[in-house]
Amino acid sequence: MSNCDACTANKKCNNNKSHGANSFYRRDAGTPVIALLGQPNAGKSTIFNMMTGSHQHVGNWPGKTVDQKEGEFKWNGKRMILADLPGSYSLSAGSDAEVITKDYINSGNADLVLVLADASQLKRSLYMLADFVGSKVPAVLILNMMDVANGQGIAIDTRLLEDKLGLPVVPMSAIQKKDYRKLYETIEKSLDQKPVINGDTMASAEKKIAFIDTLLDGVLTTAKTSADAYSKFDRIALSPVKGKIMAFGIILGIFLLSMLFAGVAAGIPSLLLTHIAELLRKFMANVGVHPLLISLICDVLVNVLYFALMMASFVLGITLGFNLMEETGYLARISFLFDHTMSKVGLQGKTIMPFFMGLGCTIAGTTGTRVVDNWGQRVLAIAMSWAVPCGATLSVVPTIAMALFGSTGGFLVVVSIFLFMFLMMWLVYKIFGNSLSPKEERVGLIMELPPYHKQNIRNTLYVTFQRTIDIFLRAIRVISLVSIVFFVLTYGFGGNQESSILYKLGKLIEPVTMFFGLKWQAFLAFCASAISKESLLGVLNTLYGAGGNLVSSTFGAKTAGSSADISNILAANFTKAEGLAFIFAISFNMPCISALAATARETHSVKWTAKIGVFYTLAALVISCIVYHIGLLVF
Amino acid sequence: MSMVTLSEAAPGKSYLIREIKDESRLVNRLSSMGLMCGSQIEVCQNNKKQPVLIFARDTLVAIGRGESTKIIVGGAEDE
Repeated sequence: MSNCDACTANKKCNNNKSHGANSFYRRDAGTPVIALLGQPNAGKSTIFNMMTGSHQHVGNWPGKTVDQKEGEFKWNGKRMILADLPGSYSLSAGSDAEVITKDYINSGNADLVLVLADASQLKRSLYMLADFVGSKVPAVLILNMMDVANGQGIAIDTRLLEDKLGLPVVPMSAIQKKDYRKLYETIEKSLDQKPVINGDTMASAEKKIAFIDTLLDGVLTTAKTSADAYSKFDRIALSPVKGKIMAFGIILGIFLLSMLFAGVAAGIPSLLLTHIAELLRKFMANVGVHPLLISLICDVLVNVLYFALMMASFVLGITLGFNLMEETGYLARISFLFDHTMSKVGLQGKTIMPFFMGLGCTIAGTTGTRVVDNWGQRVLAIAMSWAVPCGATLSVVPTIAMALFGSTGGFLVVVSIFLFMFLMMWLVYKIFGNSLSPKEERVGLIMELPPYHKQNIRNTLYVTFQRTIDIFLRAIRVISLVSIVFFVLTYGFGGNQESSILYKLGKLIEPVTMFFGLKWQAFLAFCASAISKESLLGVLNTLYGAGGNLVSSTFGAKTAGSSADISNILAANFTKAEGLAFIFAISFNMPCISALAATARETHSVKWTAKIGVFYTLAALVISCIVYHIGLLVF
Repeated sequence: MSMVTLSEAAPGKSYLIREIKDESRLVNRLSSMGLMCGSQIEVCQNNKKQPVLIFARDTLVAIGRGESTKIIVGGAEDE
């Protein structure tokens, strides 16, 4: 982590973790700290990103699983720090995010608080401001989404509002760059004049709501009607049947577009990579470089780069789609549509999307769970999404199934994998559900459906790229490391693969693995699938002596033997029971190493990642064992 | 109009929230949306197996079926 040298040095509150905040950016007396406070959907992240651009850092609050975002910006040559306080609907309920936010403000970390409200739904979104009343920290009120409000014919007297509050009010549209000048000027002036909000802390919700009503009396001249909020479009988008069809259409569209994009975005560099690798191989061989090194570079590192690229471009497409849905307000509709189904397993309705995206890539599904705002539910969603067979698994399983069971039988096997997926998800829910999403803490849906609004495409693209690059780098680090270890294990030091460490090990434990229905070759392929699921066929191809070496086949998935060859090999070497056990083992094994890295990143918890990983590995072995022994009886 | 639970309320009609059955957490969550006893709401959509959709305080709010059985509403003209 960069900029983290002064991590525990809290500005005015040293060594006190309960007021906890990491300092990602250098702080001194001359650098004002500005905090951003607002309800979800009020456009907080847009403002944060527009103000700080690439100068931002995401970590998590000390000891908490809540994201901490901080950035810096300059105005008139003066450096300022912007802290994004975790958003929620109020400061008075007891969630982690709310306690953190409250402590942060009360302990005087911020020199100025920007309170954000949605101008198109003032009556509700000023609740956060009502909670803030009584604080002596200087503040500014931002009325965002003025464009949406104007479109609905809402008129707001901001002058009168300023007088009543005693605070400067900045009406703006967060996606408009030109609106920021006024904001920056107001920030500069307020740091100097230190305006404090009128009034005393209110204890009850009744008082807060009464406060808002009094405040808006005379300020809000044209009110919003239900027809403005519940549009004709929503009548269809939220209807039980048509709405769901539409949602599936949109999700499928994003999925296919991302696949297409990944194919193109990773296809071109992969062509280049293959050629470069070949040239490099010849060149190094001529110069007399040790074959071990040649293999390491040309087989392992080049292909690791390819996997990471393929995965990252798919994730990029999916993330972009998710972000667009979230920012337009459509995501909340999906949550509404699938609430009834998903709440049965303790999850929010929108979790349906990451599950769906898991069909393409587990990492995309994992990253997609960011839309879930509760940590426990997010981890549960990730754990369940692992059961969804990813694109790579789906490209391998049918080949094996068809080779062993013919086309009808093969089809049935694939169907049974999908049916089993639901069973697996249910199992995950039964085992982890109660500790991650405790029944007594589970609450039904009470959610705002935000008005649809435009977004700043540049900003969305920027956020998307940033997140994807972060995942890409993490994945490539982990997968490189594991690949090198695997390389050493599979490299035939004596000249052929029979001398590799993994071969010897595989042979040695075959009596054990055979209990699970896995011959040593199958067990090896099972292990190799941790690097990438695509490599399965290649590894089998090599192990059954169809040529090539084990290292190239593990890493060079795209150059795996033709499907005709592999069909013959499979049919010749697997009994039906063994084949079926193998298919189940690889389908429900834990996902690839890159997906594990992504999970650790998203959950902020290596412990939970390990727990879920161990569960899946054991489950895969147990399932294959059961399938094998049933298979022995049937076939 | 007599009292009904929100889950039985008719779409297109306006109601006043009369009672939120004693669950302080539900009361808290509703109040951060600006909803409490006495609040006026308009039911936009109420289908089986879907959350109830209401319009209140400038906002479209979805309330899960389970919670909506704990909210008692009455006709606006009763007052």
